[in-house]
Amino acid sequence: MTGGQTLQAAPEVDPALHRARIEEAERRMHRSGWRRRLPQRGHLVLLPLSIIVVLPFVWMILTSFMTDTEINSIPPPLWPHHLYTGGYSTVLANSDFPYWFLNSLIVSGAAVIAQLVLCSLAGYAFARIQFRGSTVMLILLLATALIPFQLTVIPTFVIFHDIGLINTLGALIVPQLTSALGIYLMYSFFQSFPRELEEAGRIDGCSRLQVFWKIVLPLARPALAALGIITFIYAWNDLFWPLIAITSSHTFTVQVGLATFHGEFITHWSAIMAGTTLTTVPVLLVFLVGQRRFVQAITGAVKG
Amino acid sequence: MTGGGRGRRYKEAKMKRIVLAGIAALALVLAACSGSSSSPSGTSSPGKVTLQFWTAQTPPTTQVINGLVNQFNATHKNIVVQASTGGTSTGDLLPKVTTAIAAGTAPDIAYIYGSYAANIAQSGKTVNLANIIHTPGYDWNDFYPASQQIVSPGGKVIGFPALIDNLSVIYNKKLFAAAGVPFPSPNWTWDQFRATAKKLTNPAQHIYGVNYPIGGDLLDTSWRFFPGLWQRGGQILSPDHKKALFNSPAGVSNLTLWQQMATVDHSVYLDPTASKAEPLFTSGHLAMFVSGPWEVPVLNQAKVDWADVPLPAVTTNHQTVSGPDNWVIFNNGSAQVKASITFLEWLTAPKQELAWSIGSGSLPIRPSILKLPGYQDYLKKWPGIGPMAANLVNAKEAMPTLPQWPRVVNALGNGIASVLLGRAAPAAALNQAAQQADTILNVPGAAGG
Repeated sequence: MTGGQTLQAAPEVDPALHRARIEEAERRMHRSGWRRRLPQRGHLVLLPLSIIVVLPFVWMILTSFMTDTEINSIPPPLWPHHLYTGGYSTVLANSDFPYWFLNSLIVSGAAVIAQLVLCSLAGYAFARIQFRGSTVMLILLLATALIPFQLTVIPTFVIFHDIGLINTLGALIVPQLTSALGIYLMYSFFQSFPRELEEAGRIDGCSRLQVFWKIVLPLARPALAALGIITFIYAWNDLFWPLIAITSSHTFTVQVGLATFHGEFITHWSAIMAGTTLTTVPVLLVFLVGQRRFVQAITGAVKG
Repeated sequence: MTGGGRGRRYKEAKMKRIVLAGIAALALVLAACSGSSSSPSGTSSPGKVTLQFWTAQTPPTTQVINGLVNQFNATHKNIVVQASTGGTSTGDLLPKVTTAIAAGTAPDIAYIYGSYAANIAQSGKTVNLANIIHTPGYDWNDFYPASQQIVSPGGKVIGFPALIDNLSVIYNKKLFAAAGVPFPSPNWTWDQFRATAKKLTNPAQHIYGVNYPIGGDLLDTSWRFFPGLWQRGGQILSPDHKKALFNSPAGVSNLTLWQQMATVDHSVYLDPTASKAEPLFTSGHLAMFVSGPWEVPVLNQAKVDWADVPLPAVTTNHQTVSGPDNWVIFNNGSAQVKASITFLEWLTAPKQELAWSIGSGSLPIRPSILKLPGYQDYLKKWPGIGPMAANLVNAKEAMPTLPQWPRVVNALGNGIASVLLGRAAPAAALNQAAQQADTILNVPGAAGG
């Protein structure tokens, strides 16, 4: 039922009084809206903080339009003297940047999908299914997160070489299919998930997997969103393992590709900044577009 | 069994099939990803050898070296060189190469910093070309002596010279003119250098006379100390690499000069990150810049009116220091090694080296290149680089190549920095650094190279 229909459904009210009420309501809305837009004390803290957060991005975009000489000059210019696009043409025309970007998307996307599926299944199993040694297994699993990757890089490299995945995107995707952190995140969420909802589903004839798929997972969206964001950012920014595992330029991820502009003696800052802008802006846009959903998801996760 | 139970079992089985199908789909995706794997090094077809060549170049110089590799591949039917940056720049390539060595999957050839030559040689995976480099055709003595020494840690020739550089004094002509100071002569002395730096220093306009890095990479701090040490007759280490000698009177005298300039004249910009001197110079805040040929493209792009002269001398010896890098050959079997030698012999031949120098702006690694007709094209393309190439004759000695070298230069670099900051006296700081170096050099089992 619309608001218009509600107004029409009250013919017994005096039209003058009705108009007065509407005007008063509009005034209140106007006042409260105006008050919301007025600077408040919290803005004194939030505004400088937001500038600190935004400034590196603004600086990145500005320097992507500067020459290396401008970037290196002292004092540094606040904005480009001329709109120099050489950094962009270097990245787009003289490197394999489109491949790097696509590879990063494939690796990050596959990592996110795999972790959402596998970590939620594993987390649910640890939280709900009683089996012998489950606690020990969970502790052992979490203990793997304490081992620095640098210690395991050589055996990992040997294994991937032996199975023929070195210098392929598979070498970057497989290690990120699941993670101890992701499993623990989902395990924690499912532990606080009300059992009554699952029991109701079981009584209605759902199998355990159906309960998981149709009842638990839809309500786990906040935790899944948090896991997805964490996984994407980690996979997108990872440099060390892709550097070790990938040799061919066409198979580089964005981070490894952009690192090649940092040479032994010369760093092509303009190209690096242009490449970083091209890499970051799409991700930022995705976040800005889906901002409300992300915030809802995270707040939901906090509330449990 | 009830109907409800059968239904539940059926649904569970269905869900399991869905999950298994999902896992199978994921496996297929991974299998598809693995399909793009490049062929490993080895014999790709009967009589044909494929080489993995990790160049560690940035995109602009990668194009130059890839052009040369294509030329080689077109003219050598039995060898296929697959060039790749390997990952990224030289410094970051090192962990990759060491991982590959440990995993037994080293490339056939990789570009490696000269300072890591001894550590890489210790891996046992490198070749030793000592017996073949002096045979006719290699023209080994046509490489500059510093390059020959750096590629031969402990007398083991682990590859071919890849790059050579040297330190000289680059100066800003406009700042000299504004201060009314005559341009330095190629025959100048350290006393003249100190006086010139003092005259050029202008605190009101934030102009420094000269730079000295005291942070970041301490190899950078140390290697600027060596020319003055050598010129005064000093040595860095004893011939058996067991004792530090840089704290000799020659070393103390050398460091005292820089100490006086930094703490008395205040004419030295003490660069805390070893990366600020370049922008200071291009922005007109540094009159003299002790640096090398890698600055030429930057200075010309910044349109600085500059020139350069050799380092000053105590009397007449303008000895400088060089930090060469190497093409290291890894032992992946005799056919691979033989093909690698053939390729590097071709790549480092004067004609190809000149093409590489013209394309990349690197200094020629062979003196004979300076006599080639095409050398004039190189000088035209990289204005100002000629004196730096000529200065290579002053790079008479190489820094030691031993596994402990990075830790030795760290000890020395910290000592030098403390003196220039006015926190220690030259003799005391050098003695302390020498003590630390002796301890590092005499750790049982650490010697080698």
